[in-house]
Amino acid sequence: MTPRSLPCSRAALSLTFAAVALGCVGEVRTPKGVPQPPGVEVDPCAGVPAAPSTAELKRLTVTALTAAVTALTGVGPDAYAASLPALPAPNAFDSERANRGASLQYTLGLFDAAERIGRAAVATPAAQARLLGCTLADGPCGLDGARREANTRAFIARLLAAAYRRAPTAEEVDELWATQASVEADPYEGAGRVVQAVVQSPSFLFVVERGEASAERDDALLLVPDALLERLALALWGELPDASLRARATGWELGTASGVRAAADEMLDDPRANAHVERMVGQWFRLAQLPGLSRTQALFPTLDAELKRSMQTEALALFDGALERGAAFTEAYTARRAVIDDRLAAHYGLAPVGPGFRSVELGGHPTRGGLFATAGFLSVSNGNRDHSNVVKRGNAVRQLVLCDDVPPAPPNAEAMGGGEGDLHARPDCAACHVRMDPIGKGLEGYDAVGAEQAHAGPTLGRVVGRDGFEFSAGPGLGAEAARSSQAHACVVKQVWRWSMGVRDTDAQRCSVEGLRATFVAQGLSLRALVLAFVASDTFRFVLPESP
Amino acid sequence: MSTPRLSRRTLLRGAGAAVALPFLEAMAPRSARAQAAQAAPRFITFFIPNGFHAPLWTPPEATAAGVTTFTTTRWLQTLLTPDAGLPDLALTDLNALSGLRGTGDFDPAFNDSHGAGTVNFSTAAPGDRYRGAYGKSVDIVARDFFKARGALDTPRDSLAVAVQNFESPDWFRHYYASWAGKFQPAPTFSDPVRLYQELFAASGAAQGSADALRRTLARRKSVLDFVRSDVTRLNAQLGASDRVRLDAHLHGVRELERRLMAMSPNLCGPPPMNPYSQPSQYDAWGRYSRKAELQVELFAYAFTCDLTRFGSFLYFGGGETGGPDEGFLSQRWPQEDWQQHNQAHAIAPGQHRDGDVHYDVMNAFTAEHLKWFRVLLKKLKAATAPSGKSLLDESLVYLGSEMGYGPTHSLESFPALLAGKAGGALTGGRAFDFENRQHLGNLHVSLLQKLGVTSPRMEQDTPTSTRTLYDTPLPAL
Repeated sequence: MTPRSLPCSRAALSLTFAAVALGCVGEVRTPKGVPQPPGVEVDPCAGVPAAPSTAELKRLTVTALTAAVTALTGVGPDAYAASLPALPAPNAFDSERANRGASLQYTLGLFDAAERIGRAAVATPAAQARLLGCTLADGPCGLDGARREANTRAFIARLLAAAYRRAPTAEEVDELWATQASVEADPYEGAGRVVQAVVQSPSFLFVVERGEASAERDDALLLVPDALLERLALALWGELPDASLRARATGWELGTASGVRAAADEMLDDPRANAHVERMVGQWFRLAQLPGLSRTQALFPTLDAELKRSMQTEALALFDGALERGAAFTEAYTARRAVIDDRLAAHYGLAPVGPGFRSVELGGHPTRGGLFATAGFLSVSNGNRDHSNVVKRGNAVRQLVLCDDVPPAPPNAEAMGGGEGDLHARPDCAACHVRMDPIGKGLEGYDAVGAEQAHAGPTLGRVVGRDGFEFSAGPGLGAEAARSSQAHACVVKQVWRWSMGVRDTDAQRCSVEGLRATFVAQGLSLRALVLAFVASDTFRFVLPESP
Repeated sequence: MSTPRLSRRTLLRGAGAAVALPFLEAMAPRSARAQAAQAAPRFITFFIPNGFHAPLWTPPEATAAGVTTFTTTRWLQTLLTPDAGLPDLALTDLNALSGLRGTGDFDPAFNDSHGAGTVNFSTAAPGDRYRGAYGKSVDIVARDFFKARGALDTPRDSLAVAVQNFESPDWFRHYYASWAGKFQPAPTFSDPVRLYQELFAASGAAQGSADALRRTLARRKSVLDFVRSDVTRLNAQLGASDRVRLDAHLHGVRELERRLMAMSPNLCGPPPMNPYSQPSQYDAWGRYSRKAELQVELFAYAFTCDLTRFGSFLYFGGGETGGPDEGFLSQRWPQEDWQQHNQAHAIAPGQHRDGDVHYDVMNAFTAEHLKWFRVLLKKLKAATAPSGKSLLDESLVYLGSEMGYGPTHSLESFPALLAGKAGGALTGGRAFDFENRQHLGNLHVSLLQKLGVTSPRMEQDTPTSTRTLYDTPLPAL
């Protein structure tokens, strides 16, 4: 196997290079097979090419599905979203949940949703005109009378081409014509029936990824341009490519890493990319759960829907500009300003800011500043407890900031009783609690809804482990997380999971490490990370499918 | 006019020296024919968490052989409480069981009794923590028996409903009472809106003429025909692992088709309660009771209108239930973590008695759980089966829990209640105490036997080297 180019320029390092180079801080990189002097650490990932991904049949996420339905039919999600069942696994991205396959419950819900979409698509003359592409009163595409068959077939062919992202077959057109003609006397209700069938058919709902042999690698297939474009659009925008993107893509070199990188660079300037990043951080840090936050009303009388929305707005605003060139992702962790309204100002004990949301400078405020000091994060990380909970918060930081897979507590954990000393002494409890509780202690200065609370004793938090650190309150945690290599790797993993809908595997460890090195070398730029990822072999290549 | 029966001699006389004769349906013994024509019975499992404190449940007179004269303990009395507009239950509608055993987790390092117990309730084995049951639950075993014999002709094979407020993959075993197979939970509806849609979307508008319904069914079938064709076309282009993913979608399509085929104009109109108009009353924390009311209403409807014959109802095992907004929790109690499970474990030793706040709160939940179970039974009792008897008499309802008594975490002394007469196969009005000499699996076998399942057995493909198997019923039931 010939050496592959890697995102971090390890290949440029020589044996004598024992110090810092391009962000490979404190590590010595030695090409494979080259003897190294005693006492020198060998980088196990040196010379290891980025691992390809697998080409899996992927179901559209709800975001992609609703965007595609709107583009095809003009029907917005309000008409049918209630039919789609919420999928379990609140700690997974919705791209991961979609990739777990179609449960029976989902298929049944989709059936109902499709019926509503079909009805809505032809509910009014305006909707019919939008669907069929002309003003029906005098337009050439009307379905009445003698024109019905020819124009319906033409409509079916156009709909299928757009929905299936390929040219339809004559068999498919014939079958859909027969489907609606046999049961609908009214031609426009027939068109609605066609829509109903198409939006629940697997050729629309699933993305098939195809690769072809390439001179670049002999162990994997290069995604064909259409498949790569779909992967890019879903990863960067959360949607399937629309007609405009497909038109632009004809001028892109999607067969090369540099071509993919250039295409992605253009796409990241689109507002849809920022919206997709907002969805990602909303799910990642559980901010999307804020509207459903539950607390005992009598204990938290000011916690209403409006305050929850404000919390969410403040936390998400920290990631505005995350895709800008030169911006560091971890600025959200260390920000010394906050975007708040009067409700949050009162919640934090700050001076009123006036109408709407304003950016407020926090200076050296000891307990406010950055994501981990926001009421939003502090609330969702506390679970559904009415009192601050060191275990819940510690667990949240472990999972969400450090990507530690902490085993879940058994439901009878509380029955075991005992205070911290007991939990840290018992062998069946200590392994987890010594990793979680000290973190939560550092956030004990905040109550269950992120307001400050009086707390006896020190609130110094501690992350144990090889890259451990101590911190004080939310800003302190943010500062340390911004420096932590484990937290950097966690950003890489989360971007990977979000984009691909699957977790990185052990076999892809070196790929993750390579991306982490690039992320650090590029000043913790999310944009640089994303561009490096989509240009990597992991994104562009797939393993051959088993027959 | 009676149907003449042919004898083999008659046939031989007429056909000469024929050696092999066709098996004519008319020649089959009457009992076998009757069994072949028997429609599926009605069977419901109903799970409530944290068991019962024995003094509040087990009559002191109860024995393994069963007694008909016994003290009506607190929880039995709760079931006999009148409800306005519904018929009263009688002790003869019920059988109270105590002293059954379960099986703990196969990994001794793993101690999640609640999860293990929840799966024991319906499968007689603990299941895998993250993947669930090792095999079918008792309701699904029964359902599949009758389905295989063509005796299931309702729009739905079965219906699984739950009352819970959130899900976590960590507590997977706690969420399901029905298991379609190993590691396969049955689709379970925990949202009244979705349950309402499920019951009415598949059946079409229950209002309107039969002709309108036939047109609706025809339309839906034509759509599914196309979807199925598309699945077949796409399948031909995929590799092995992708075909497996697509199979799940195809399974859903086939299930939809089957339901449409089984549909007939539904004489029941939709219930007056419509959860679409009331989401704020149940979709937030602290609306546990209201959600239970809606779920029981719809669940009962599915049986009284013969939309299904098999179902399970589960209250999430002592999980998050909300705050003192709940009407059934007294405002006098201190406002703290309102979770039955946590309250159960907060009871200090020696304080398991009325007056202890944790004990009282734990029991307030049990009373609430039993209240909605009681309402379900009464709705069945109020409905009339085609036989002319009450639907409850024609049904078998199994109430159970995940352990004997929540604070103990013991997988012994499981309580159970059987309601209904299973069409005459079960006599009511008895109390049993099996003193932990019988396993839940034996109870499940008894249930299957009462339902008419031949060679009943509960079999689970567990991590141990032998399959867990129960094929012996409770001796005295």
